[in-house]
Amino acid sequence: MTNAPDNTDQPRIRTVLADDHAIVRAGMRSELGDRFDVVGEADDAEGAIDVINARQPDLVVSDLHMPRGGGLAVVEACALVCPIVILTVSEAERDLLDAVAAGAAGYLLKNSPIEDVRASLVAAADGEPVFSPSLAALVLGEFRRMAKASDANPLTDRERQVLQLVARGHTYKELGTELTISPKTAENHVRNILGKLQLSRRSDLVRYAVQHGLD
Amino acid sequence: MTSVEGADRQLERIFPTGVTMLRAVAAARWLTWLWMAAVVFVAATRRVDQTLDSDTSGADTAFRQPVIAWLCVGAVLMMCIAATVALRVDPSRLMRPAFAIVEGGIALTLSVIDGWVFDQGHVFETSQSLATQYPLIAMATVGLTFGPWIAAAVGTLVGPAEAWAAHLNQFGPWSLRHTFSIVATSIFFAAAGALFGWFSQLLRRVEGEIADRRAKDEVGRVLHDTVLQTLALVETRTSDNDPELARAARDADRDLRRFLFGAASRERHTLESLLRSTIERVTAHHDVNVTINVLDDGCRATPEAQAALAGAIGEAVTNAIKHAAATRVIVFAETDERGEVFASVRDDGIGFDRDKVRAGRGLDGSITARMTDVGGRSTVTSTPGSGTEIQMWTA
Repeated sequence: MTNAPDNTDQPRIRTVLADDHAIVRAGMRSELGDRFDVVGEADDAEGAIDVINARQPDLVVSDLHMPRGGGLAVVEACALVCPIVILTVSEAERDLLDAVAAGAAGYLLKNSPIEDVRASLVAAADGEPVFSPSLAALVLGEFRRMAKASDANPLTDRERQVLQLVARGHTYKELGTELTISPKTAENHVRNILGKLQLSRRSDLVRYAVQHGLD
Repeated sequence: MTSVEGADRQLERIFPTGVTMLRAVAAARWLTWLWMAAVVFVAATRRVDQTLDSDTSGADTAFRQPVIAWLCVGAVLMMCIAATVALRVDPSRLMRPAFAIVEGGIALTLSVIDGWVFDQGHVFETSQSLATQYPLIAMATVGLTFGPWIAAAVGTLVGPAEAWAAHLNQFGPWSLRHTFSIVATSIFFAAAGALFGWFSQLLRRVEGEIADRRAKDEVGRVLHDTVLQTLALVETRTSDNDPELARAARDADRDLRRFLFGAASRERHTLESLLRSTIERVTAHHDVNVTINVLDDGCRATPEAQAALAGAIGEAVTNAIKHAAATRVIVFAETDERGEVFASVRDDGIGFDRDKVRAGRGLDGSITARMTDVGGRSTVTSTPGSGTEIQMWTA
């Protein structure tokens, strides 16, 4: 976490914060630092969608559990406007998978060290998918279960390796060094993994619907 | 039901699908009553020309006691009305012992006096007895209220009740076929009662589990949205200027998470619970952020290998905290296709030069030896200034 954002010549990242706890928003605003310019805040999903559409920010940091729709509604409505990073205390598998399926650019835990959150948010604003180690393990577990259930693991060996390294706490840069690929390639792998996850979630739903006769 | 205890007991007894079942039973009870009324009505009209076909007893027997028969129809009608009213007002009344006892009693009584109210030659011959399907309804009620065993016991009484009815009907001569019929009746109703009782117990248990899970999820969500949020914020904002408060917040955060998410996994003796408890122990009272990722499905490592791995990981985490001054440690463990375990402990500490630190930090003794003892191995990757990763394999 040495790549602290001290480059003042870069444009500040116009950010919208959505969280139903004012104290969390205040805390975030003061901790985000100079690199970020908080251009809007909202305390529920509908408010967040309005603010995002009005301000057209570079990045949205949204809580998951909020009144009137929650973070998922925000992601579903605004995923195309700018990257949306879910910042939550929820380590529940379903929350993560739903957020990814809805199109979230990242999913971070509120108890992550603030430098990590900052670095991840900068990366997310650049279009990188951001993922904390415990969530990488979760995704790895999800794919393993799917492989066991359907006899077909949609992850390539390389993608599996990438996921394992993220779960072991490697940054994209370290990951590139370890696998002798460029950080950009590593990032692409992660993007593909997320893509597959979204796909698999959908096929899961279809399978469920067929099994239960709900199609 | 004003007392909390009473309300609790009521909740425990009456479960949502139970109400659905009670409704179904109530509907079936009304149908049974209609059928019974029709049977009695037809038999009552037959009384007039009884003398014409005195030979052809059997299917066409008339009443000796029409008034009693109509009283029985009235009694079942009362049960139907009582059940319907209770369903509207308070369904749990239908699952009180008194109701089930009355219903079981009426069913057995009907079976017995069937032989008394009809003319001689009625039993074993007619397709329609006075009770019709009422014993089956009673089995459902008794099964729902008292469970499979008592319902089965009551069900076995239906056979003797019919034998008694045959006696009251001056039936004779008695043959093996009739005994067999009585026994079959007992078995049938006992099985029906047991099935109803078992099925309702099953439903009740499933619903209880679902309700428990929901309640736990609800508590978890509320704590998530409120307490954990605040703790996370306190942790983050105080880490620089008030480490003591930050540590207190982290401890509370960890304890709360363990309470919310750990209880279920700790009940099973999985590799995950073993690793978590080990790490929990060595990180207690240390201001360090440990992320634990364990994928232990299909683990086939021996208990000794798992214990050795847990010990080695504990040592690795301790080293990271005590010697490397790490603030973050990530523990990862996963099983491979053979069921063996690969684990990694990675920290953001000061790191060290492997060439300069030979057997130092207890690495060789505590980690390498532990792993090699159980047929595994370990490697250490470290660069001064950028942390350490220790990798371990059980085989």
